[in-house]
Amino acid sequence: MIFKKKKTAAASNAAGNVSEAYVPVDADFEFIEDNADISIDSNYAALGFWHEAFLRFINKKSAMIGFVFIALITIFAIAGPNLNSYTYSEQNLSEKNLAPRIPGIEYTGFFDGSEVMRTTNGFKKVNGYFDKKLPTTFYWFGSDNFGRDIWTRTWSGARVSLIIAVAAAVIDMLIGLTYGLISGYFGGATDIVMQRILEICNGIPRLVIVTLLLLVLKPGMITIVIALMLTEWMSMSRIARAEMLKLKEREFVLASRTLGAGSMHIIFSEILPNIIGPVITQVMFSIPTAIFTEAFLSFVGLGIPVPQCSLGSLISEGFNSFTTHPYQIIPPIIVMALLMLSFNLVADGLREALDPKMKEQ
Amino acid sequence: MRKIDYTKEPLLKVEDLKQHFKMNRNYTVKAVDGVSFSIWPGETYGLVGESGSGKSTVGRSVIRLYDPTDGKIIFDGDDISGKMSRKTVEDLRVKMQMIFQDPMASLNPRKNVGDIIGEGLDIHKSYKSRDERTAKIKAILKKVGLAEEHISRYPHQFSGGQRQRVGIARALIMNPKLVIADECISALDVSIQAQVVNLMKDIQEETGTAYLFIAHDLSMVKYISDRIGVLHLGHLVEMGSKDEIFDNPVHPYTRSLLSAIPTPNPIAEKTRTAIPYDYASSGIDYRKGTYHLIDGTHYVKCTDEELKRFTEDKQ
Repeated sequence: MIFKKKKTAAASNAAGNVSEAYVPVDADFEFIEDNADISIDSNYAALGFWHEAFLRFINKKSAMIGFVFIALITIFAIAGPNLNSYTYSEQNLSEKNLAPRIPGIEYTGFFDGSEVMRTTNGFKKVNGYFDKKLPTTFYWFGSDNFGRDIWTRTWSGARVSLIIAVAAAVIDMLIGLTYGLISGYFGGATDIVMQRILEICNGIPRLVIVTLLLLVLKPGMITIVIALMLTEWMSMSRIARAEMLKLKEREFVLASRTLGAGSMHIIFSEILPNIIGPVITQVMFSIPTAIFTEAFLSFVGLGIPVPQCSLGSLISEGFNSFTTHPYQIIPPIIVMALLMLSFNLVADGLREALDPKMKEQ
Repeated sequence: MRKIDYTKEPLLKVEDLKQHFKMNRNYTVKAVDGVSFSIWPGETYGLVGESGSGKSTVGRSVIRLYDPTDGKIIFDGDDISGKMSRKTVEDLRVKMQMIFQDPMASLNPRKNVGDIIGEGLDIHKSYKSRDERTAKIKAILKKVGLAEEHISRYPHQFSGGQRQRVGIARALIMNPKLVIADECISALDVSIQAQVVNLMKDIQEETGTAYLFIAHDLSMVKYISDRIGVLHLGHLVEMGSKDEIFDNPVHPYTRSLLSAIPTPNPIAEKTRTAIPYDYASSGIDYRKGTYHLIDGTHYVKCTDEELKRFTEDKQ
């Protein structure tokens, strides 16, 4: 700023004496504006890989939105069921099929506990809370066929989905990654045998595996995780193998070998850090698949046993009374859709953040 | 000047090394087909030849990145050609090191320079404390002309010449007796090539390591090598001391190679003609050739008739 003033002073001075030759002043050789407003090129070369990836990730709006939704759903899945006095299995048959009613908001006309029912005499607006004389009862998301609180059940269901998500990620990492890396690194006969095993596993439909598993195991979380373990790891192992094939002939790997590094050292400390980008991306993409698989299994009745619930079983229950009480199916569907969408968005953002070349193509 | 004692046992003795790669049932690539040479402690052996002649394969077989198909490799008194004992492997991985061609590809992009150079130390546990490790790495950085601060930087933050110095540091930190330099200067531009080669020479003066210097740049090989082997199609067609090869090339392939070197004198360069050489039409069969002594340490691989023809051609 200070230079600007000097400059104008010099300019007016010059304008006053047009006939005289202009004598340059010191201010002429200084920047007019040399303040923080001038955008300076960030020197990305000086940043570390992770720092750079982090910056790219937070600059991507869709990925950040996905991230925020995942965080919100996670918080509600942890805290949500404890926010009211109901439990996920508590039945109150005298309070069944009540529409959503939220204290405070009820006076606006929304979430006031009323619903429109179709009867033989045409449409009729009913409010179960008044009919049954329950002025102090609030089911935030309504109650289901057995008088259970849908709010509590939705978030317990989300909890199951998130546990499945974590399990899927761990399975991908531990089994898929290790299998793919070892198969790719050793190559030759090892690779052929391992790939044939993978193809055989891949050939058996997931539903068949789960149904067969249910013959030996009780339905429940463990069974679903085992089912995922048997089927989820394959796409990850393929990616890991492909990346390994690409990298294992690179000179830095040869350099490690000439230094006497063992196979495990090369696989896990030389090559793994170089493929962590695609690996993380693949993990994030496999999470929605796993969540959906669980929901699907629950929907067809092979998943979590009652009275426990998952998003899939909630959708299945809501589906039965969808035509009469549509509010019962909406919360689990919205949470489920948001969860899948968010994981996909985050995965996409991570892919671009970890592999910047991808975007340029 | 360093003195090489040729009466001693050679550090590396390669006898009739064969390295074949089976592509499929009917087709085998004979990358190296019966190569013999020796390297004495402290000397630089230059291996030259065109692309695909098997230079790099020789280097990689010697350091056992490949399993040799046939032949014998004796390194520092140990046979390293077949199945090696645990102790031999350990010895080999410490005493023989390699510098790679592409300075970018040979450094792990996710590791910092300290970890890249220290990898050998880590694997062989050749330090007692973290401080000792850091001190060793810093000392070697200084030796190759890099600064101590570079220890925490990543490969992409260096220029090509600096990266190659990191590669050299990684090889030298183990105090190797033999360094295989596999086209270690071909990816650098000429001024940097000179820097790197001079660095290698200085280090040789200081530590007495031997080099197997693999290159296709003949003038650079002439500058750094004591003895030279000329490789063509997996056969070592001619070998001898630097002067013997450059002053009196006998094999037509060697003469063709040498005639292709540009001279800095523009008048001489105008009249320079490269001698063409085509193996298929030359009527020479490398497989039939045996080593014929020309003089001193100068050998040519050929049959008796071929040798006669070569010497006549020269006149």
